[in-house]
Amino acid sequence: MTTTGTHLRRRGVAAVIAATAAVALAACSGFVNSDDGEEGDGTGSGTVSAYVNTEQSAGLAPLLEGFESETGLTLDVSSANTDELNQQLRVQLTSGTAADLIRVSPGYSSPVAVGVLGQEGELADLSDAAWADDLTPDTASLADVDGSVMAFPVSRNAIVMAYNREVFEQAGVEVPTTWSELLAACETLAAAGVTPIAAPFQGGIYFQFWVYAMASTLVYPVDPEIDERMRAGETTFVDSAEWNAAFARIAELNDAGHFSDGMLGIPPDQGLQAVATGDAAMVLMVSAGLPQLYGYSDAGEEGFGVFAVPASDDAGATHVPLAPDFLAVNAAASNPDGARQLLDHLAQPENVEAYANAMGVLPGLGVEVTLESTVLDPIMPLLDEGRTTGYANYLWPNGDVQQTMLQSGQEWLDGSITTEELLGQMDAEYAKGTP
Amino acid sequence: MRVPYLFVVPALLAYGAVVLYPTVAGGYYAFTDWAGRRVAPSVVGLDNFVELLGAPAARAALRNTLVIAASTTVVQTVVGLALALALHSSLRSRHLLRTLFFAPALLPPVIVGFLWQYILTPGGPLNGALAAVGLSSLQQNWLGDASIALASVIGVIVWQNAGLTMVIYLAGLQGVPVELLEAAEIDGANRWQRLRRVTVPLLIPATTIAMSLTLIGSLKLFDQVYVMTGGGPGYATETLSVVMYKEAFVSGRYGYAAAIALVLTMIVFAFALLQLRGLRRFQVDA
Amino acid sequence: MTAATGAAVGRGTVRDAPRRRRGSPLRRLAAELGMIAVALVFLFPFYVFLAVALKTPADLAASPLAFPTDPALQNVADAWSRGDLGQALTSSAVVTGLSVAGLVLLGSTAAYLLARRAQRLSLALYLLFLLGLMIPLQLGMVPLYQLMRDANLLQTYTSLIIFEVGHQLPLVVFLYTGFLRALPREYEEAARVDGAGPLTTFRRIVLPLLRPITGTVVILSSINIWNDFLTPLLYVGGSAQQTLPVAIFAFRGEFASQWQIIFAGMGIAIAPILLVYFLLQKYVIKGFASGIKG
Repeated sequence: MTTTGTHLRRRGVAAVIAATAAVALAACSGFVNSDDGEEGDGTGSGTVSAYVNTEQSAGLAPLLEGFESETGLTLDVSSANTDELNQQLRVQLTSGTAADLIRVSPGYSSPVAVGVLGQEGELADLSDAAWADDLTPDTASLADVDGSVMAFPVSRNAIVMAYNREVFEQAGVEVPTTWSELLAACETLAAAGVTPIAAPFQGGIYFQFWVYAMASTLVYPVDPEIDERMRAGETTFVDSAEWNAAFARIAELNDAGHFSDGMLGIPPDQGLQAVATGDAAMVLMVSAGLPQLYGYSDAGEEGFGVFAVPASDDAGATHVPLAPDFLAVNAAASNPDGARQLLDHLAQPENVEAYANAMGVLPGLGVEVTLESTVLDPIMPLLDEGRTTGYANYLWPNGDVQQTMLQSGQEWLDGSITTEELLGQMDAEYAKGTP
Repeated sequence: MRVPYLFVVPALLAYGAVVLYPTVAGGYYAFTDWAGRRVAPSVVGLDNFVELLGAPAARAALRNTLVIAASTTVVQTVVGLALALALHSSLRSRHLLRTLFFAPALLPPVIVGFLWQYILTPGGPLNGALAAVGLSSLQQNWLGDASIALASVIGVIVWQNAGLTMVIYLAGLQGVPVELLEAAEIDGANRWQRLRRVTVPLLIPATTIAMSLTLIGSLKLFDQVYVMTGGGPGYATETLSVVMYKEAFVSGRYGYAAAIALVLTMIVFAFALLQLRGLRRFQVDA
Repeated sequence: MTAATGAAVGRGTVRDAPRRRRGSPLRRLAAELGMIAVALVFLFPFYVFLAVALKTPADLAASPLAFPTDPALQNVADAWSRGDLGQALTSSAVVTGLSVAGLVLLGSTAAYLLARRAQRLSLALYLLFLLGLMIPLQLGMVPLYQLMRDANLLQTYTSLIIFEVGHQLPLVVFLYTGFLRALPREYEEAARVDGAGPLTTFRRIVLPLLRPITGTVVILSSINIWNDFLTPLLYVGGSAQQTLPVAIFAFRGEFASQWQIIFAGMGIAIAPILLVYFLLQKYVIKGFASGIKG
């Protein structure tokens, strides 16, 4: 234990700490939260912060440069996938650390949905924006809180059935337009040795698409006021003939064995891969996921088609579920004017078009746009005729109804609980109301 | 020389702020309806605990947490001991093998979760490998079948941590005198008898350490389950820490979540006390 | 052969008991091969890891098990840039480095008092620290989160460093105190005779003597902190300060997963750990064994 040795060693430790500190300082500003205190000064100058989901981040990126040069504002965008964003945002809002522009869920579907946050006064009123007149009816109702517009749809997404053209051709199957035709197609495909419907239900995300798609045709067009009546306690899932019918459709496919074997263990990407390789014929998915499906096949976009999944034997009754992807302005934003300017920028028709084309999604606003991709053409007539509904869960009073549906839904699929038990559990969460 | 109490103050401050105060505060919230808003919570007595006993997720979580803790502890101890005995030998590859068997214990649990989630999918590598070696009959829907998902999760935990138990036993095996084993051999004890009568009894301290570490760790288990199954399918792999997280940060029901955490804390303490008593008794007997 | 193996005894990471060679060479060969076979099965996940991380999506769909013939290093580059993993790597390094430094400082000073004062108060404090080994983090998670929020520390390194130091302290105090209790006091007495105060004695005499256990502390706490996920997810998720496990978790898309990118990113996250481990395996395993034994 010579003094020199100790000194050297101690110096070594000091050097390591100093080096770490230096790296830290270089990485910098991560140690304290600097409130830059840029209160909106009316001209909307300075920095606009945004916290968006991964898809929005990708879609916005090409449009930001134009915005920055046009307005002289700087954008600070951070992103996370939607699940994580939802968990973060709630606490950020409570703690006052949330960004100026934030991604919010439609309706009441999560603790950070427009309806929930709007009622708590966390969101700015955007009713006077020029684009408010361009909202389509299906999004307007979801962006509205007590008569004020509180969210801007950057895009819309549809739940569609994607199918492998070659598999359909080889089995001699035509695109089904009614429920009976869908069942017949499944029989034919199963006889040809392919899985009729890929069911990547691990985690429940893809299972919920089935619920929303069936409800879109069987519940809401028949009983548009059902959620108001359920909130008033006049009816329940269990008592609703429409909801029972929607779940009965899914059970019918499940009982006939038309879903993938082992569906509860199959993650989404494997479901898409099965369709891409032709092991399965079709999959019910959101349109935003289509590019990923194409990526799994050498045939690319050409190899696949889409259709609106029928739920009744009246082909004209089929509705398609649509979901807006919302941005909202934080009521406590440090640069609210800058945030509004960005929304105005995104609302310009050429930017709506650019975003939709870049992401392969439907335009958020009802403005005149030309879509490059023809993939979604089969469902366009439904959009034009207004045969659309929001996802069912958007109007449910809290996120726990959906959580219960996802989780207990898995028990229902493997036969350990009945439809009545599943609906009863959802009713119990529904009855708890909006927190 | 008297060391001034000032020496412990910085550590106590950090520990108090990060562990002691929040734990006590959490205990209080367990009896309130706090929802994480800017509104003060009101005290609701035992309501949260009553709800917990009736909720399918929490009930399944309670059961699964105990099952995971018990089976992980037993299986991991047996596997770890077997590995240690096999590698406390003259095998030429023993150093390399020890290094390899221990490696998973160093990996971030989140990453282990992702890796195994992929491996265990129905069309995934494990079923593929089973088919490739002619064992197609053993193929399973490892995480998708509610009747075996929990077993799969336990298997993954053991895979990750068996090396840790092995290392503890390897250290313990150094304390087994060779002379004792040789004496037993001269007395005519065969290999199995020497193991049972000499080695294993001398490894009891190591066993206690290994088992308590595994037990407490597996009661608190979160990362792997959250990533691999999120508690599914249905509620088949729900654990107390996963339900607690979902209630707090997905649903925003902090009071209820605190009640779940308080139950978990009580369970951990109960097991720790039991273990302490068991250990004492052993020391008295020995 | 016997001589060669004999020479290897004692070189290992954990000292072997000297043993006589037993059984026929054939039998020992069988045992050797048997264990290697077990190890190969055990390592299967690592093989899958490499196979996935280096494949294109189409290759992966076609043959999930085959080894990539044409390694797609593009995945690693994609993961690096799309996940901003350079930033995450820096964050992980900063948080781990500073937390460990804080732990060594706070843990050793506290243990010095706890080990050297045989009083009721110090014993009670020691037990209070040990309690922390059992308390599940979950119960205090939300109140601590609020505390960090009120201190305006969320989304900063500071919040994570404070958390990690407080959270790992019980283990560190436990290790240092156990070691110090077994350490003879003569050197300290000598220093006192020379007129050194407690602080000088600690700095000059005690701290250097603690080097072996400090190694263990550094190894154990670095790994725990580097791998930590839940709290970093809450405190710094979605910010520029997010650590590697959080960044990897964020790869998981909402509707589908791109496994090859996730796996490539995971490779980047574990490479530093495995590299250090294979270089310093002797110390790492010894650190764990002695740390656990206490």
